[in-house]
Amino acid sequence: MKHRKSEKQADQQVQAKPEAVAEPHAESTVEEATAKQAGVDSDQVAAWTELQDLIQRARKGDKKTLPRLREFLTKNEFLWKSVGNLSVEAQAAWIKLVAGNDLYYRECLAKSVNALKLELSGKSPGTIEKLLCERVVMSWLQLGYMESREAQQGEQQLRWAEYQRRRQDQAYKQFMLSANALATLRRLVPQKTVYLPVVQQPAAINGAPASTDGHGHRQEHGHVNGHQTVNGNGKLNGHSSRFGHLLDTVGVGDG
Amino acid sequence: MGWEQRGQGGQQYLYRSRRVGEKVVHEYIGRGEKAKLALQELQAASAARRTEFQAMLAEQARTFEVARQMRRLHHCCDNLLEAVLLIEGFGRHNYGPWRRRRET
Repeated sequence: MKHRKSEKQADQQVQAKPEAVAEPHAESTVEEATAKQAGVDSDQVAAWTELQDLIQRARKGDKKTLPRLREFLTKNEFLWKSVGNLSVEAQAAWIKLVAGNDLYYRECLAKSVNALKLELSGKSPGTIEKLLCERVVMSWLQLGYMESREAQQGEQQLRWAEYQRRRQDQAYKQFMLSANALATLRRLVPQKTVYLPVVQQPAAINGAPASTDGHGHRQEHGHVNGHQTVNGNGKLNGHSSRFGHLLDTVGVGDG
Repeated sequence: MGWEQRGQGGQQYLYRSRRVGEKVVHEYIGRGEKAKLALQELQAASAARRTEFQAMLAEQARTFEVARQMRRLHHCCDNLLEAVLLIEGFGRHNYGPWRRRRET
C-alpha cells in the first residue's frame, strides 16, 4: 500500500508540468538569474529590471521613454553580452546532450551548428539579429534532440510517449516562435539599428581597427549593424539558408 | 493489492485497491492458481510503470539545466527584441502583430 502511494505521488509529479516542477526560478527572476550567471553585480541585475520597466512604459505609449530606452540599450552593453553568453552555454549543453560521450560527434555537431549560424545570420548581422539567429539555431537543436530521443525509444509505453510528445510540441512551438521573431525583425527593422552598442577593440590581427557586436563577435566595417541579407519580407538575400523558406512563411504574420 | 482471508475456512482471496475519483475501491480479482497468475501479471505491470517513471525522471534531470538556460534565452531575447521594436516606432496591441505606431 505504501509503495503504491509513493508511486502515485511520483506519477503526479511527472504528469504535472515537468518543466514547472524542475524550474525553481519564477519568470520574474529570469533577469536576475541571467545576470548572476554572467557574473555581474546587483547594479546590473537592477538594469534588467529597469529595462523591463522601460518596456512596460513604452508599451503603454509613453513616448518620452523611447530616447531613454535607446540610451539604456547603448550604455548597458552587458545586456547583449549576457544573452550571448547564455546562447553559447546552451549550445554547449545541447551538443553534449545530443552527442553524449562521442567526442568526434560532438566536434562535428559543433561545426555544423556554427556553420548553420553563419548561414542563417549572413555576413554582417546586427547585434540583435545575431542573438535571434543563435536562438533559432538553439531551438532547432532542442527540437532535434527531442525528435531523436523519441526515435531512440522504440516501443514505448503510453505515458512515456505522451510525455515525449508534449516535450516535442513545446520544442516545436519555441522553434517557430524564434523563427517568427527573427523574421519580424528582418521585415520591420532594416539596416538602421544604430543605437546598438559597438565595442571598439584596440587593434585587429592585421593592424586594422576591428569592431565587435555586443558579445564580442567581430563585425565587418561598413556593416556594423546592417541587415545585408534581408529584403522587405524577411527573405534571405545573397545567400541561401535551410531556414529561408521557413522565415518567409512565418514572417507574414509576425508576433 | 493483497491476499485477504475470508470465511470460516480461511480461504485466501486476492483483492486490489484502486482509487476512483476520491474513493478507494476494493476490486476482487480471484482465488487459487488463477489469482496467483493474475498477481504476477499485476506485479510485472507495476514494475514496468516504475521503470517508465524512473526513465522520465532521468530524462527530466538530464535536460533540467539546459531547459532553464533556454527559458532564460527566450525571455531575454524577447525583451531585447521588444525594446528594439519599440524604439523603432512599432507597437502591438494585445500581443497581436507588430505595426508602426501612428504619429500623433
